[in-house]
Formats: sequence, structure tokens, C-alpha cells
Amino acid sequence: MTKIDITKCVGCGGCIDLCPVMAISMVNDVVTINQELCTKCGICVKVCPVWAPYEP
Amino acid sequence: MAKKYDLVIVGGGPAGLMAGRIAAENGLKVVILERKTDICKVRRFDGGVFAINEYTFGQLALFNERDKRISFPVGGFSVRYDGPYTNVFGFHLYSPGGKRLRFGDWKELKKDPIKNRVAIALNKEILLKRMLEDCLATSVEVLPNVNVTGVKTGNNKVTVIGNGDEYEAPFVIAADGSNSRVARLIGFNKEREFFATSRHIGYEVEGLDYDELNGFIIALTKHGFYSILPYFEEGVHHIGHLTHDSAVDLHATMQWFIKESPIFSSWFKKAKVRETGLTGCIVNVYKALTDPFKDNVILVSDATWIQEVSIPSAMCFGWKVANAVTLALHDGKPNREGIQSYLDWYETNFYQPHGNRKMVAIELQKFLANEDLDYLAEMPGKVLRQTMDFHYLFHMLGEIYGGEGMIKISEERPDIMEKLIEARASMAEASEERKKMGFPGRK
Repeated sequence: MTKIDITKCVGCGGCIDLCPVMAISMVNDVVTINQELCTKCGICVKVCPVWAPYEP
Repeated sequence: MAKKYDLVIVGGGPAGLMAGRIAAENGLKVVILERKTDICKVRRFDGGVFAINEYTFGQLALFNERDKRISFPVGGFSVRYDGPYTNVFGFHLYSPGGKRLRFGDWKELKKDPIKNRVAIALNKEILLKRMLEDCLATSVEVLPNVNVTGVKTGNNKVTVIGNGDEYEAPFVIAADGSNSRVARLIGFNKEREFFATSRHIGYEVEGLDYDELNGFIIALTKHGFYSILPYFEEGVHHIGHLTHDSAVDLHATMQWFIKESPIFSSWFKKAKVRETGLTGCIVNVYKALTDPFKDNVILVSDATWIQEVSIPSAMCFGWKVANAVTLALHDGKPNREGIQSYLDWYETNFYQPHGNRKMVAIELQKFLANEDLDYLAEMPGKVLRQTMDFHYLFHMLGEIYGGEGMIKISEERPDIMEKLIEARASMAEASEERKKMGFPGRK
């Protein structure tokens, strides 16, 4: 399941925009992946400018 | 049960906040939906450079220090700004060897900054705070923490679904920026011409040491372009860099620029990167929309443009669309005809002059050596007219390096001319590659 390293994330929201299934959202200013919707397509992992999302 | 309004605005940035305030002042019942918790906190990459004193897209922004307002006399509206700022002059483009093409002689222009500046670097968070305060002084409802997940249209009304709640109005304004969620939900991403997904990183740096840092610097290096912009605090600069390749480590290429790049790294000898100043963004670069309207959803600002329109233009979008919606509802025309004034304004001021612009993939640094780029930077041999308008900049670069420029290069440096021809020939392929590396999100 794809996770976001909060120590790296700057909250730009780009992954929220690009997620093909809208699995990512801003929850109280924390960028959060809804694991039930995530298909592990890996787009957020690739595209983040600071590579904050990852597959543990 | 849907909550009913005269106008729903998605996005609480400069366009959305302006639209909300003006619509509410006009008597409309308005709600602004914003996904962030703190509307005024800037998390996406933005250096805070705000262009003034130059007509752009038919508008003019002026900064009135005495009364602490930024005004737009063509449109006839203004906002408060009482925060700190520095003066910013127009572009200096640097080649890898530190040769430069100057749009404006900063040493001369600095002698009268109020008269000569083409931008101020301001604190965007303070600007947004003042806009939000002015919004909240009206009856606008501003709802943070709302993630929009659906849009339903038909029968001259629109329902927006956010966090499971429904918000209904005759019109919805999509002011949710680049990669607009609303544009995607109503199907614009299926058809728009797509160029690239760009990834950006920004650092805040204290203590840069170089004698001409008072304006917008763009440096071309082997890793592509870096920008160096004054920040609203004296002695602080915003360093930006971008790539279209998701395999590129942007922290690494930034560190290279700061520590190893020929010429520019020497500017950073005494500099310190602020830990708290890291920003980033991802921009899906699509061609501008020809028709920013569908089933009473009206798209504005970055949501309808290629790349970005910049903050002053975003404010103008908000002003124009709010008034158009007001008139439409007053005239009993909750439809396209009712807001035609906005569509005409967009067509005349934005689309006709610049809407057909395509993002061009030419990475000169891949075809030319550093010395070749140095030659090109020095070739014009004169200082050009200062500007903060990217469209004018591109136009001027076309003028300088096209026509007579080409002839001069062919005569003086036929070897460089050959490389330029090669670069040009590769453009189509490079554009295709850029498209493939991107994530256009067609669904």
C-alpha cells in the first residue's frame, strides 16, 4: 500500500491532482492516501517533486 | 439535501477569493470550497513575484504604497496589501558561462526603483489573508477542508459534491487552478491537447552574494533552467527548478546548482538554504481552453489556461466572472448567454492574443556546448526593453534570434547554426517524448 513520507511532503497537492482514482486528498492539511481506493498505479510515487510517496 | 446558493466557487486562491467577494458585494449568496485547511498558507511553489506597471492581458496592476493597495484601473477594482515587499526588475537570462541577455539594465533602473520596477516580490500569504478578510466581511461562506469529488450538471444548475455534501447553484466557478479537479470531472481532460507533466522544486535561500540580484534571473545550465527571484525579504531569494522527467532527482539537481555549477555556485558561497522554505508543485501543461464553459460550469484563471496566468491576472479573472454571473442572474439568464460578457472578455484579452501557444520542447543545452550558449547570450550585443511579461519575452527572443539574428549566427558561427538546425529538427520527437513521460489523466 502506497504511503506518504510526511517528513518529505511539502503539501503541494500535485499527487492529489494527478491520482487517476482520486484516492488522495487533503485531510486537515495532511496529504492522505485512501488505501481502499488506491490501486498502487505508482503515479504519485513517480511524479512527486520530492519523492514523498513510497511503496513500503 | 443540497445546500443552495446563487454561486458556488471551487478554489480559494486569488481568483476564487476575488470572485467570492465581488459576487457577495453584488448581493449573491456565495460559497467558496477550498481543500486546504489554512487558505492563506502557501504550500505550492510560488516565489511571490507580482507584476505591476505593465499592461498584461488588457489589464494594468499598480502598487500604491501610501494607501497600501494594489489596484487595477482598467477593470476598476483593488485589493489591500500592507505586507513587506522588495522591488523586482525584468528578466536577465544567463548562459552556463555567466554571459547574459539583459532585458533591462538593472544598475540604471535601480536608481529610481518606484518608477522603473516591473514587479514587487510580496508575501503571498499576507495578500491572501487580506483578500480572505475582505471576503469574510461580506456574507460569503468560506469552507476549508473540502475535497471536491463530483460535479452534476443539467437544467441550468450545477451541484458540487465535496466531502459527501452537496452544494447547488445556477453557476459554478472552477477557480481550482492548474490540474483543475472540476475541469477533469466535467470531462475537459479527455480532449485537451497535452504537452507535459512538469515537476517543480523551490528553495528559499539567504545570503546570495552577487552584485545583480534585483530581478528575475533565469539561468540555463546542463540540467536545464533555474530561476533566481527576489523574495519579499531583503537578502532572501527563491531558487526554482523544473523537469519533465520523473526520473530526475530534483533535490540532487538543486544541490548541483548550489554547490557545483560553473559560475552560479560561486553566488552561493555564503548562502544558507532555509529548511522551512521548501516548496514544490506539479503542473499538467495543457493547451488553453477555447471555450471555458460547459453546462453552467465556468472555468477561470489557471484552470483554463496553459501553465499559469500569475496572481494579478487571477484576480482579474475573479473580478470579471463574478460580475458576469451577477448580471446573468439579474437578467434572468442562468445560461451561457447570461455570462457571455466573461467569455468575450476571455476571448479578447487572453485567447486571441496568446491562447494558441504550445509548449515547445527544445532543450538547447542538449545540442549546444556551454561556449555556444555563451555566444548566443552575447550575440545581440545590446540591452533590451525591460519586461515581466513572459509572452513579450518569448516574442522578443523570436525577434532577436529569428531573421537577422539567424543571418548573423550563420555568418559568424556556422557551426552553431548547424546545431540549432539539428535542435529544431528534433523538436517534434522531443515533444512526443515529453508527452509520453507525462500523466495527462484522460479519465
